[in-house]
Amino acid sequence: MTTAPNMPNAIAQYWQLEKLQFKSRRFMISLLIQALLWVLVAFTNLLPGFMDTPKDASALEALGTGMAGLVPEMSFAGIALLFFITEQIGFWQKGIFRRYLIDGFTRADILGYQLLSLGLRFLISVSLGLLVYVSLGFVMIPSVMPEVLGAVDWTFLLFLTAGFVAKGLLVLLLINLIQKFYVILAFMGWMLLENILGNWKPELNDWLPYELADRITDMAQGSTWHWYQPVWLGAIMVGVIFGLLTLARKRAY
Amino acid sequence: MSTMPLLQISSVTKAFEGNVAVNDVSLMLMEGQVLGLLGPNGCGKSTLFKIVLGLLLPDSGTVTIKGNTDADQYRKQLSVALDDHYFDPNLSGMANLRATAVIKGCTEADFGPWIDALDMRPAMGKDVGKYSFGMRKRLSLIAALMKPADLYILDEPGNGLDIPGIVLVRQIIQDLKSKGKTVILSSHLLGDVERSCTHVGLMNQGKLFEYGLMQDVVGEFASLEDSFMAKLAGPGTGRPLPFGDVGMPPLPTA
Repeated sequence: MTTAPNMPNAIAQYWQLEKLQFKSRRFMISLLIQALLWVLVAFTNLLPGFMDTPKDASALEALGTGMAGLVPEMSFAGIALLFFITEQIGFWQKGIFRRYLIDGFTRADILGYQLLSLGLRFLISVSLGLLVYVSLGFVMIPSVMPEVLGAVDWTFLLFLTAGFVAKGLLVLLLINLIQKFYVILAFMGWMLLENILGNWKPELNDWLPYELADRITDMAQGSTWHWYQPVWLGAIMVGVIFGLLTLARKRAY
Repeated sequence: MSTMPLLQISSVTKAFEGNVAVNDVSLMLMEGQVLGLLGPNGCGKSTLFKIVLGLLLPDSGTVTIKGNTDADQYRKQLSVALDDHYFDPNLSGMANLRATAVIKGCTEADFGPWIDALDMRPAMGKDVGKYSFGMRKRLSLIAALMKPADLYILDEPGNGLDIPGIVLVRQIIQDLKSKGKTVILSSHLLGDVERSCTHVGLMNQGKLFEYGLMQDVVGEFASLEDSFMAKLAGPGTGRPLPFGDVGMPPLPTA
């Protein structure tokens, strides 16, 4: 039976461990790659926004149009998740979690540390993304945020979250099964392709597993579904469930 | 001194996809005893250590440390240097030791002297991924020794070390023994095991085929090495070397 750690002490411990990770070169490289990805994604999202905006519109209006396209983007969370996955590959693949167990962590500690790690990385990534977006629009965050927040459909965001978590777990499964770095590269390619196709050839989206969250939202709103949409959804869900079972079996001991 | 066994391994068996790595192993270690586990590569020593640590679940059997069978609980009472070190290769040696210190509740004052003793100060800023095998072994020993423990598990502690390192490891084991610490170690350095250990276990193909006091295992043989080689009778022992007709070049004579 796993014993729950003493929470305040445990969180302090996890934070100390995270601080060590933040100073590593791997973390810095990861931040750099993320920033580059964000620039690419921001351009593909912002440019159509700028182009669709009347020429006499203010910079703020133009950015607002661009930012509205940000919310339904898988990329937004996808990059954060990618960042986390890249960081965590070593932790699981190279058996670093075993080092922590040897040193005295319980399995509950490992889980707690991973959750904290996920939360922090997600925050860092999203903050970095916002910074890139806003920097590209030459507008300061305080003047933009109310407009953006006002445009968010929170129910939609909930579905979006479910979508990216499912997608991320599928990638985790692939990484664990294939255990090759090219899977991550393929995921990055897929993500960027989705962005490019999504913005430049929207009609192709119906034929791609584009934005699982969109599909879920469509279902929730009762809109018409094509046969291939539930097939994609089902395949991803089966993949996720199978992946979780595989991970649980492989990583338990 | 407690009469309860510090470590009790009861009928532990572990197989990987049909290959039995540890086969019905039972042993008991009392406080202050130093056990040397000997056996050829792949005989199951490291697997047995991982089972004791709770890193692997046995297919059957139990491990009990101080009456506790929950590895999450008893692991805190152990100090461990495995042959598989599991350090983060992307962090420096110092950052890895700091991580260990955070988990063990130690400070730099606890492991600093060990860094100097094992001559690792110049390598502390380097990423562990760039370490040689011997350097990783030293780092692993520092991590194991930074906090006093009830039981020390040292998996081939001299493996990959240079001669001064091997001598130092021998001194460390002697020191632990003189302080009445309980140690279980595996090693191919039979002379060191004979000098340092109170008990010895001989393993082959997953089985612990002999286990007892050092003098009993050595028995009528001249040394532990002779006893081990005579009793092992496993693959690669007692066979003629495969030089064939080519033969060895004659040794130079004075």
